[in-house]
This record gives sequence, C-alpha cells and structure tokens, in this order.
Amino acid sequence: MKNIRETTFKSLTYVSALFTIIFLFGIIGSLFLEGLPLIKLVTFKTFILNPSWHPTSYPADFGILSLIAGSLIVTMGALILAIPLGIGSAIYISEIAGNKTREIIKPIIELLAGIPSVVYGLFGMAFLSPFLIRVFGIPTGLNAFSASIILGIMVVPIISSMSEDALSTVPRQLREASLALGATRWETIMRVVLPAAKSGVIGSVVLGFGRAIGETMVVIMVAGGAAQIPTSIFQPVRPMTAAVAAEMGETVFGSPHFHALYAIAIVLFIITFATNLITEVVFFRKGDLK
Amino acid sequence: MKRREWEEFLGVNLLRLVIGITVAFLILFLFVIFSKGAPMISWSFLTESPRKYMTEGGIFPAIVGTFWLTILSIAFSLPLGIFTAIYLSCYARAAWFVRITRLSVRTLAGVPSIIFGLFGRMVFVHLFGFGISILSGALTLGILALPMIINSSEEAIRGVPKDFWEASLALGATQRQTILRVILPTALPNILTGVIISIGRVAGETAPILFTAATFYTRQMPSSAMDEVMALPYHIYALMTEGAHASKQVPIAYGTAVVLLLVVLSISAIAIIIRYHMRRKRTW
Amino acid sequence: MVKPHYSTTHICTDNVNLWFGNKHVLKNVNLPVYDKKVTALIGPSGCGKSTLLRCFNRMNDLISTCRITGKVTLHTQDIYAPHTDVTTVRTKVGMVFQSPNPFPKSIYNNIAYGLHIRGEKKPKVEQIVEKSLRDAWLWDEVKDRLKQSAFSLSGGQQQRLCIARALANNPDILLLDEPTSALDPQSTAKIEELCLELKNKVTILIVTHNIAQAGRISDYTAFMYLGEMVEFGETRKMFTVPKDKRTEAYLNGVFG
Repeated sequence: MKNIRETTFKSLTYVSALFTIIFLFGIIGSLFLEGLPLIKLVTFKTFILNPSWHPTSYPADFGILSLIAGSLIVTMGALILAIPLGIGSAIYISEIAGNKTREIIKPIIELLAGIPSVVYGLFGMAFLSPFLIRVFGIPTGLNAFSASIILGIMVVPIISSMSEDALSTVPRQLREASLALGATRWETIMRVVLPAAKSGVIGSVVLGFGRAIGETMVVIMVAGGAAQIPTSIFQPVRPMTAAVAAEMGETVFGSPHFHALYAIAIVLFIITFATNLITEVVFFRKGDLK
Repeated sequence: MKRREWEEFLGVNLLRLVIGITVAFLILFLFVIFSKGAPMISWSFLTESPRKYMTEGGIFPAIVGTFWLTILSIAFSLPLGIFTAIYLSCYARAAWFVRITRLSVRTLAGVPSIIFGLFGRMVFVHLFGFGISILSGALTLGILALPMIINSSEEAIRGVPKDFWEASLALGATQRQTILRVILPTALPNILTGVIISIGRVAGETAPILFTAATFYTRQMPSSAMDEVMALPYHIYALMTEGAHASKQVPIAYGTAVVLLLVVLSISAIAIIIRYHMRRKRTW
Repeated sequence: MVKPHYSTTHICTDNVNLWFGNKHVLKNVNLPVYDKKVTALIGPSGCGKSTLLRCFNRMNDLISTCRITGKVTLHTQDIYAPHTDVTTVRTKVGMVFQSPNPFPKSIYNNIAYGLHIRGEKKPKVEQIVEKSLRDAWLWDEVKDRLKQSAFSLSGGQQQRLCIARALANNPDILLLDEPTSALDPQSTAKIEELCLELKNKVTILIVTHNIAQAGRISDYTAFMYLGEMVEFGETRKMFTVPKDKRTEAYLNGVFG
C-alpha cells in the first residue's frame, strides 16, 4: 500500500535526525562520564587555577592553568596575525579587486583552507622553527611564537571568507550613495561598508577564535610541549588540545590521569560551544545587516 | 584635500600589501613543501612499504589506509547525512525536535577534532569492542563529516525551485516520490560537491584517528576492517615526532605531505570543476 | 449570489469559506463548473481567484495557516472530506501554473512523470505521451526530440508541455492559473485556441486577469471581488449585460 512506503521513508528521515542528536549527546555524555570522576581527587577551583600540571609524578598535580594559558596565548597570537590579514584580504576581494583578480584570489584562499593541519605542522616544525632559531638566536623554534604564526595563517581563510560574505551582502546603493557624495573609496569602505558588515566580520573573528583554540595537530607539533606559563613568547607552551592528544596514548584506561584528560576535554568543549553560541546569538540576528 | 588623497593611497595600497602577504605565504608554503617533498616521489615511494624502521622505503600502506578510512567514513555518513537533510528541509514539523536536531548539527560542526577522537576511542574502540581498527576510525571520521554533509545537502535541497515541488505534487505524486524523483536528482550536483569537499577534509584529519585507527607501522596490508592501519596524515605526524632518525625521516615526511596535498587539492579541484560545470548547465 | 444547478454539475464548490490565518480570503463561494465547458475566474488582484482555483486540487493545503470550511465536490465526492487521499484527487485534477515549470528532465520524461509514479508499463506510457502531446498541439514540434531536455523548448512550447503533462493523467478537470501571463502574444493566442479545442475533451477552469481573454475563450465566467463570488453566468450575457454594479465597473476597467 502506498501509505506504508510513505511512512517508512518519513520514519527513516526522522531516525537519521535522531542519530545526529544521539551522537552529540553521546559525545557530551562520554566526556562528562569520564571527566567528572576527577572531582573526587581535585576540586574544580584547583583544577582550573593550579598552574602545576604534573600528571605522572607521585603525588600527581592536576592543575590546568598553564594549559589554559598555553591555549589562550597561542590563540590570541594567531588572531593578532589573522585579523588584519583576514579582514584586509576580505576587503580587498570585496571592494578593490577587479572581477578577474577576484576569480583568481578567491580560489587561492579556499585552497589555503583546504590544507590539512598536519601539513601546517610539518611546515612549522621543519621549516619555520629552524628559521626562527637562526634569525632570533633562540634555543628552540618550537614555541608559542611559531605556533601563533602557523595557527594564524590557518585561521586567515576562515575570517576572510566569512567577512567577505558579510561585505558582499552590503547593498550596492550604500556604496553608490557614499561615492556620489564625494567620498573616496577608502572612506566609503571605512565609514559605510565595514560598519554595515560589522556583525558578520566580528562573527568571523569569534569563529576563528573557536577554530584556533580547538586546533590540535599544529600545536602538538609546533608549540613545544612544556606545561608551564611562559615568561616570553619564545618559550614552549602546551595548549589544552596538545596535552590531551599527546598524553592520551600513554595513559592507563580509568586512571586519574585518564579522567583528568577527559576533564580538560570538557573545558575545551565548553569553550568551543560557548564560542559558537555567541557567534549565532549575537551576530546573526536578522536585523543586523541593515 | 591632500590629506584625504594620501589616506586613500595608503589605505588601498595597504590592502594590496595584505593580500600580497597572504598569497605570498601560500606560495612560500607550497614551494617549501613541494621542493623538499617532490624529490622523494617515485614509483617505488608510492608503491612500497616502509623498511628499516621508517627510514627507507615507501608509503603505500599509508595510502591504502587513508583510502579505506575515507571511503568507509563517507559510506557511513552519506546516507545518514542526506536523510537528515531531507528531514530538516522536507519533513520537519515538531518545533522542539527540529531545534534540537539543528542545535546538534551546529554544535557537532564546531567540536574540536580531538574530542571526536576521544569519543571514538571510548565508544568504538572500547565499548563496542572494535579495537583500534579501520572500522573505529571510519566511524569516528564519519561523525566528524556528518555536519558538513548535512549542511551542504540541506542547502542543495533548499536550492531547488519551489516550482518543481508544486508541479510534482499537482500531478498526484506523494512527498516521497517528489523527493526521490525530482528534488534529489535536481539537487544532486550540489550534494555531490558537498560530499567531495567532505572527502577532502576527512582524508587530511589526524586527531580523530590518533587513538582509533592509526598506527605507525603495520607489517602487512590491512586485510579486514578490524585491522589497524597506517594513514597519510598520521604518518607525517609520527615521522616528525617519533623515531630516532630525523635526517632520514624528515624528507619522507615531506614526501608524504606532497602526496597528501596532491590528494586533497585534487579532490577540491574536482569539486570546484563540478560546481562550475553544473552552474553553467543549469537552466532555471 | 448564484446557486448552481446541481443536476448538470459534477464539479462545484458549496459554501466554501477559506482563511489564511485570520484573513478571510474566500467568503461563501458557490461555484459550478460545467462539464466540457470553459469557465473563467476574473477579478482584481487579491480577490481570491487563484486561491479558489487551488481549492479544486487541495494545493492550498501546502500553506500551513490555511483553514477551509464547506464542500468541494468532484463527481459526487467531497474532496475535503476527512480521510480523502489527496494524491489521488490530484491525479484527477490537472493544473498548469503561471510560469511554465517543466522538470529538469527530458520532454518524454516530463509528460510521463504522472504515469511513472503510478507504475504504468512502457507501451502504455508511450501511447499516452504521444496522445497528450498531440492534444496539446506539441507533437509535431517535438516528436523527433523527445529525449532532449524540456528546457530546450521556447516559453510557449514549455507551457504547452506543461499542459500535455497535466493531460497525461487523464484528469476530469484542467485548472489553468493565468497560463499565458508570462508568454508573448503569439504563444498566448496559440494557447487560447488550444483551450477552445481542449474543452471538448476536458472541463477547463481558468483564472485570468485579462478580461478580453475571458471574453474570447470562456463559456461561463465568475467575477470575484474581495473573496466573494459577486456574479456568475454565461460569458456573453454577463459581459454585455452584467447584473451587478461591481461587475460592470470591473468590466469597464474602472478598477483593476
């Protein structure tokens, strides 16, 4: 009967949607299931604020402040590089470039976005690191500075394409009105177009932040791996993602160290979830683009 | 007057400088990788297994491993993704269920890849007992790819003009028939592009397979989905961070990177070409 | 208001009221649609004529805020009765839309669509496709290129294709929603001629904003204004001696 086929098909789509929900809650559930038991050993406050991360010593120290610091330093450093390059590229593509140039440059930026993170890491380890040692005379090239550079380049395409989308949504009439009143191209960009695209551009930066702080391979290969709060930007750091990825392989299933790594993962998840939430709620309300 | 002209001149050229830096970096990057990696590429590099603790030989097992991981992960996420996209664009009714589904898709899209690895390890490797295997890795990668496929498929379906829906329903077709006979075939090129882009992403991922599938060295080719496997991205990582012979391993890492880049970039190129041709052929 | 003659009418609406949300769009509409005749629905934009048209194949169901009371009868069956199979209703009612909307498929597969979904066998399908194309005056122009894309046809040809596609289902009634408004005068004339020929085979209900067109091709006309059916009658009589002042005003172009 026709109806059976209709309902079966419809149910299949519902079930598929259900799986998506199951996966998300499965991930959240597994993180909390294995991460929360750490609370028996370490209070929440100590966990976050203790700068001493020595999970394999006896007695073990499970403070992740140095890891959080590592993540933040590297991410902020990345944004310092990526924001001007990303927004600048977006403005160039949207406002200055001719059609032919645009057709060439846009795919190039998309290309950058497609490079696997491990290859960025290889570049950082094998090329940038020795280069920095030669140029700055520092003992190691695997540090917060080099990780920031590589991470920054990785984030440029994200900021660039989202900002460019936002800029292109600004109606042509606004630019024409500004130019007709005698403004220069630069003034039109700075005073009219960019402010109109403000929410999309800022949203792209927030998204870039989320992407950078969740990145694993680049930091595990380039940031150095020392779980300490650095005193100089040329010192090695260990961001949260690097700690989890590097140490998970050597951890005994169910040990306190194991739970601690999952606890770090919870913190990571909360940070990236909050970032995404902020991006959506604050920056994509419908009225903003007018 | 003079000052504004100066501002314009500096401003526009600053932007040109910025784009120049960005493009220059890409060129430098590709130049470094390819100049150090291309000399390693030879027929034997691509078809042999590694020898002498990764200091000699080729990367064939890694190529095979990446191939299987990618194919299986897409086989897993493609039907799930398309059906979810169909739900979201054609059948969504109960507001709460739709919202939770959309929230799940968006959140999954933003989850750091290492967390997928943790989940995969706990659920597929241990709980389901698949162990460190192609299956565990493919399932983990599949979940990673799912939001990408859902988003691009939904966009593709929504891009089909409403006229087609109306015409089909007015001829007495059911919703299911309309979706299968008219909507999906029309949306296919864009769905395909999304899938291809996801393939490119999955092939380059390392973190999700760190604890679920990948190993530095396997003695033989994987014979079943339950075997551990080498993979191109993991191989690069392992060569750079494990093993004791940096002078020999670093060039191999560059060579592997070239292979991986060629795979990923040609996949992206295929997607762009398909999208371009389909847009040109489009008549509505 | 006009009461239909039920004995000669197999298709009609009976006191139909329709709301989109809070907007009362159709008010107590009683429309008879006489067999093998052309009935035109005319009126200023927003009067509800397209909405009324779409009552006959329940396409208004697609709008979630739509609420309807009253009966729409198709051969003694009220198509809005509970448990009615909507898809079956739609195979008996053909619809052609304002802008031609062929599927991105071949000409053959466009016509055959309604048959394919019902699982008809190939020989019968081929037969019906040819007949439909002949009835729509399109066969000679496309018989050598049935496998080509429907988009290779001109606008007027595409609209005739859509007519053929609807005819392939062998419907009891053909609903035309301003079918020529997107076409050039030559294609329009051809389709108007086609309607005069088709009415011998199938009942036609046509919505048009072009009074002259209604005058040219319809046997009966219904004038709608602000959701009410103000006047209904034989076209020639109504156009020469309208009974309602509003009808007269509209026919004289006082408002559009």
